[in-house]
Amino acid sequence: MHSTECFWVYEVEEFGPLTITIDTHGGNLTEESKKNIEANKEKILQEL
Amino acid sequence: MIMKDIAQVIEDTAVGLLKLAATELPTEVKEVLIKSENTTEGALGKSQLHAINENVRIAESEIKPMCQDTGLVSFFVKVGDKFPLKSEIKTALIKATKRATEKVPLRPNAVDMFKGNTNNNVGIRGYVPWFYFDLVEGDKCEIIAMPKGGGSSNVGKMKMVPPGKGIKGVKEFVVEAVAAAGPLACPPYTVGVGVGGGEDMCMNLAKKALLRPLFKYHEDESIASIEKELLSILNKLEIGAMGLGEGPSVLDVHMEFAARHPASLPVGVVISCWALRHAGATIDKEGNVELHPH
Ligand code: SF4
Repeated sequence: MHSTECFWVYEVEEFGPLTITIDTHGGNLTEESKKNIEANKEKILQEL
Repeated sequence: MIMKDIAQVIEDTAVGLLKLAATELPTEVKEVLIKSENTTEGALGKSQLHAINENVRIAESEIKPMCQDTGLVSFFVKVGDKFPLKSEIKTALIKATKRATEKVPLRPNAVDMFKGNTNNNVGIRGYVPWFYFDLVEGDKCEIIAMPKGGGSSNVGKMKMVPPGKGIKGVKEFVVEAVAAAGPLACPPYTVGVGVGGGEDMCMNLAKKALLRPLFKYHEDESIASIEKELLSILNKLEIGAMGLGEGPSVLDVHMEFAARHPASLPVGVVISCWALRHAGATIDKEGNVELHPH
């Protein structure tokens, strides 16, 4: 079970443009970015 | 002449500092975020920086907190020998924290493990707000308010590096710590690194390093060159604005060094999100207040 810090309910006008970081087709920008960071880290540590 | 109530001056000043810190970024932080938006090429990164800058602009003009997390409150205080108040400074700053919680308003962020949220940002066990006191010569009192967000505090790290690894071990750990923070804590980051002292002191120094204005490097040339080297290395991680890989990962790196025990090499890494918030003022013994450049 995950605990939830807070919920916000908004009524909005002119919402967006937005960046979708997780879509319904399995795309996940944050996960992709994490993998790239991890690979860059390994390279940096080897070159230090 | 009517004598000013110095305790009241401290309290009022600190309310103002907490408000300023929560609603307005220091000039150089604002400037570098705007410059980053202009120089970032990818639309993804640019849009994140644009949202940050727009948010910063609205917060400042409406005098509202720039983030829903207004942080855990700490004060860095330097008390001059001839400044009339000592422990009453603490009392005044605690009162100021409660008042600022109502007035700014600040999100109530002081949670007691057993009794729950105190609703006023002051802990019931005496440690929050946290104070860093220093005794100095003179008759003034310098106060810096630093509210720090929970998200970026969550990615802070400390390691007792084997001393044999030397400065290379320090750099490795900083790279590891910032890579582990990755997209988690609202980048672009400012990174404070404390080296030496003990396991607690290195973290204190790392936090203090965040107070140094951006792009002002250590007065010791050899330390300044490591700061600059780390800044360039860390940006090769490609964390990017809000962790999406485009734009700056790290705005600046500041390091503070203390002597270390021969057998240990403590390294503390304290990371600030883009919302690097602090504000300071100096009060003299007559109660005149001078705000620090912000
Ligand atoms: S990490 Fe900083 S910007 Fe992000 S939610 Fe926390 S305080 Fe706000």
